[in-house]
Amino acid sequence: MNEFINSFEPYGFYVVSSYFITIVIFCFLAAGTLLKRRSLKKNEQEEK
Amino acid sequence: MFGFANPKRFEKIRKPLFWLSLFGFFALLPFGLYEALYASPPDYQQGESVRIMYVHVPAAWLSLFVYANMALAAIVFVIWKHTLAGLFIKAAAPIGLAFTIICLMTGSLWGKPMWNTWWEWGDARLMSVLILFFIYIGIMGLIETFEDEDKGLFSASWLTIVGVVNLPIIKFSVEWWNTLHQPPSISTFEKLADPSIHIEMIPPLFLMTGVFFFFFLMMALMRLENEMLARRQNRVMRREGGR
Repeated sequence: MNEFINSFEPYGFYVVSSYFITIVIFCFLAAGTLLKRRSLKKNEQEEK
Repeated sequence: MFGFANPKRFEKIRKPLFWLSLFGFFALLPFGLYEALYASPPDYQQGESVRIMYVHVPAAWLSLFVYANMALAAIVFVIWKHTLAGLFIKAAAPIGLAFTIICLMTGSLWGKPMWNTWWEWGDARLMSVLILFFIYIGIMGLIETFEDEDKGLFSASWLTIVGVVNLPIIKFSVEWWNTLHQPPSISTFEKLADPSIHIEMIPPLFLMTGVFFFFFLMMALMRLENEMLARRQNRVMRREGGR
């Protein structure tokens, strides 16, 4: 476990994990929003 | 200001605002990351772990900022029944929740090397932010509970208004109680002039806050448009179903 944590030097496991989690959550939110938008736009086109 | 509560008028400012937020996000992101991960110095006590601050603090600030905006929208919705204000609550709640999750998770990842614990149940700041997390979930759940969206938005607005009491508790928890969480470093203008953190840590903190703010603006505008589109489609579907 220590070896795994040390492999993230110089920043360390905790710093890398924090930025990684932030990026994942941002991507998840953006992807969800874009997918919903795509499906709504598709519905709108079908209605027309 | 109330003129923009009209969805058609709002539509006119939505696009330029969206492009501005997109530009702001991508313009600040490289500078923010460069400053946060490379240019700013490591802390004399915490070492490189201090870099968690550049995502943890902006996420915490934005989680409160989003909630405060939702509370204003909730008041407008309850009093004047402006649809756009109600839809803003629905659009912004998941973004606020995301910021709160980032704040809690990065705080936990910062706590482990600094406090030697992932979580402390007796800490007022940690608990009040956890309550904010549950309030966000409650708001989102309440909106979806009702078949009539307006009823859901009305109930969620009241929950948002009542939940405002948690904001000063979060802000002042580190001053009112003796907590494990450190007191604020730059919470007031006075402290900004003489911060308790290294002066070189201020630019990355504000740059990353800008990145988080533009991300919020971008997502809120897109989600608001989604909600407006969904509402229009539901209305058409209901009209056609009634024929």
